[in-house]
Amino acid sequence: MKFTVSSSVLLKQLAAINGVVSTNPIVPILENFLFQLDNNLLTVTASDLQTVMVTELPVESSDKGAIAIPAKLLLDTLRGLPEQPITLNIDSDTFGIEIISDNGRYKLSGENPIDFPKIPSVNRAFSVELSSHALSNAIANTLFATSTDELRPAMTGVFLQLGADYATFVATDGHRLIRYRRYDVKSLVDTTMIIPRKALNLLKTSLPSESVPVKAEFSQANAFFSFANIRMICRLIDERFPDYENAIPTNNPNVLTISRGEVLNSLRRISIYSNRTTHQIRLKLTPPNQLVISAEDLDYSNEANERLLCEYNGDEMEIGFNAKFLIEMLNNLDTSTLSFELSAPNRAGLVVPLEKEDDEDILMLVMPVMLNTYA
Amino acid sequence: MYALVDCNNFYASCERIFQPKLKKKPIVVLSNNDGCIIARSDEAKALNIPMGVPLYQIESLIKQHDVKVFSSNYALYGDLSNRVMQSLHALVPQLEVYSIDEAFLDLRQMPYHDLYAFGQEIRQTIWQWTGIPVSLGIAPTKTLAKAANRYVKAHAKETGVFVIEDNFTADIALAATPVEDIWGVGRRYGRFLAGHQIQTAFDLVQMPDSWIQKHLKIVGLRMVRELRGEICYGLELEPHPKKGICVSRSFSNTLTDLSLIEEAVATFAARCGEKLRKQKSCANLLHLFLFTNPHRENDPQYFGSKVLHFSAATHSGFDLVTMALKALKLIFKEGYRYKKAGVMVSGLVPENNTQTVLFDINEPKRLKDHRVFQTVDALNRKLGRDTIRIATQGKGWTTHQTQRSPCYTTRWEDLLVIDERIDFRGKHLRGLY
Repeated sequence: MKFTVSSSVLLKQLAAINGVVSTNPIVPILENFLFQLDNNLLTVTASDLQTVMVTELPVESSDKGAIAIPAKLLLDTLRGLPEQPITLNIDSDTFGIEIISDNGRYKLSGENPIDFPKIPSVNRAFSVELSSHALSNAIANTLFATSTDELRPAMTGVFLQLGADYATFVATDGHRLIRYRRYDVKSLVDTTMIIPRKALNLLKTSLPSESVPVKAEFSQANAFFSFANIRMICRLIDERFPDYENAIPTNNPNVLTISRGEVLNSLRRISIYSNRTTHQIRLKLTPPNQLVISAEDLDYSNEANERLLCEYNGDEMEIGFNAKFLIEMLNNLDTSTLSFELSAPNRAGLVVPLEKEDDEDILMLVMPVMLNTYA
Repeated sequence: MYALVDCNNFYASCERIFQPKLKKKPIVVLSNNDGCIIARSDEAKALNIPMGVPLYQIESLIKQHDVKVFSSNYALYGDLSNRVMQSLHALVPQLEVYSIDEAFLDLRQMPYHDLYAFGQEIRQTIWQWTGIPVSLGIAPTKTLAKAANRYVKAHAKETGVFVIEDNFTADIALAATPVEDIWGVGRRYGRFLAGHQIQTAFDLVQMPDSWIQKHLKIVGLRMVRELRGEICYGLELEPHPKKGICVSRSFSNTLTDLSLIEEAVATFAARCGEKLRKQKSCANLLHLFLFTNPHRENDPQYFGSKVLHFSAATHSGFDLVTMALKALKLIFKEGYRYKKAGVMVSGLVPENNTQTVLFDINEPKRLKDHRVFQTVDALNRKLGRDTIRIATQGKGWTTHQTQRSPCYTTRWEDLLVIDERIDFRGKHLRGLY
């Protein structure tokens, strides 16, 4: 079997799906790309058993066949070649591969394509259309708050709740929770699922920068995303997501409104002086317009505090937070002003942006660090 | 100038204080479960009893020379170490307790010009106040003080003090220190240096800085600078709070039964809780390990290890024991003969600054547990460890020690009785008086 293709076109497609290929997979065959040729159409597949990515591209050929090619070797070769047509000559019996360029020949050995794991197929027609812009915003706003604790698998993914009016994306690691809603993503069927973080990470990097339509299809165990000439299939997390709605406090009488940039920069400076394991900082709120952010590290006798102007309606209160969480959350918001909605020093605080896109709604929740747990 | 004070054959010396008849007799102290030799008196060293050797291998030697064998008695050693450190505190302005039997003294502000005489005075005073013999190495840096102390033990035992005050005395000590005995050089670097024909500390300080930094990294360069007399390390006066706490023991007999291992693991976890509460910390992670005896090559070998996260940081004995048993269920395999287990807690945070969590159903329970364990700790301090314990700990899990000396200084019952007619409560034992 033999085909000819532009080196840069092939490289671009392979690079888009290469994220799935792990350097040291459980099964050695997964170090390879699966190439399947059907005349003019080349389909390339990469898999790590949990996630599969597939891309298709046109090539010059009149053959049919399949081969597994070592991913790293092939990519390194293509990266080193200037743009030019290359020909891949494959011996289907020995799985030997020969790459022929303008002025060179490169020989490598592939593997039997039969060994490559089969891709699950969509067995239940249920799909949603959304824009890549909406999807990448949803991923960017939630992914950072997922947990890495494999003992609580439900939290290692993003919870997706589809409904007639909007779609809700939820992520939590037990210390903070992000609820991101899109009013431009609707579904005729009400359904929920948990999509693993690795799959979303791959999706985020391979979604094109210009907005394209994305078709998302779901079956009992898998999710399928297709856009441009790329398809991604991932196994869903089969767990019960915690009852997040009840964790969001509804009665938060103490409301602080402040510039995001100012509070973020202040937090960055103050957190340098906070305890190196707990990253604890303290917010002291005094009506009508004063916020004092402070931190101390008793181990090194470091301490710092800053006074910021704000708008504050509520009772005088002091509340502690992990500065790393706050900084990460505020960093992910795209608004110039935001409000903190608080009730008590041991209850969750809400962060709500005051400016947002028309079709979206963001709510962030963060649990405090106790200032005196056992007092 | 800094001084390193090191107690001579500390464990053996402790055993001797309350049994003066053992003076000049060979003494050895054993590890937990009476396994290996971990301390020897000078007389035992003279019999060529090696460090770390298992007891059973030298039983004939012990019989032949009538060597006195002790199980380790950490309550006694800890208390005597405390006495030594407190005595030192009275003699110098600042000190860093470096280990159970070593301390660095800060002599930079001392009015004494004759440091040798001052060193002798310290030796005399400690001997008189505590009965423990000590040696002193005095030098401009901590690393040199360590080398000077080593020099005393190897070459100047009678005087007990060595002062490095100029290049001449420094060279004497450095030339007498093999590289692998330098403070900060381990076995691996020792082999590496020997391969480059660097045999002594003296050879090492002749090497160019760039070579040292390339091969021994920045820590190695600091060490060499210190050997050349430049101060790179100051005294650490405040002990850093622990980053992790580990409680692990070898079993006196190999165990195969899950319920017995459960008792041990529960005890280790409970002990971690005690230590956490003592330093007012809570843990986020618990690491359990369990393994078979690697020296029994004919037995099937297994090493199990598991790290679990707490949903919220805790120091409650209930949480710790529950989590440790959960981890044990995950790694325990039938059919192996287990020799050792341990529980380690890490991700420590101050108990007053714990991160609260969503979906936390245990919060009220933790507050209640806190009160429970405050009471438990107070009672156990008064009535003895493990008087009140979690039922899974069983009857109280102890190591196998057959030859432990009395806890002369820390337990009323073991108080030394001078007049045998009267016991410690003042009760007459014989009715004649």
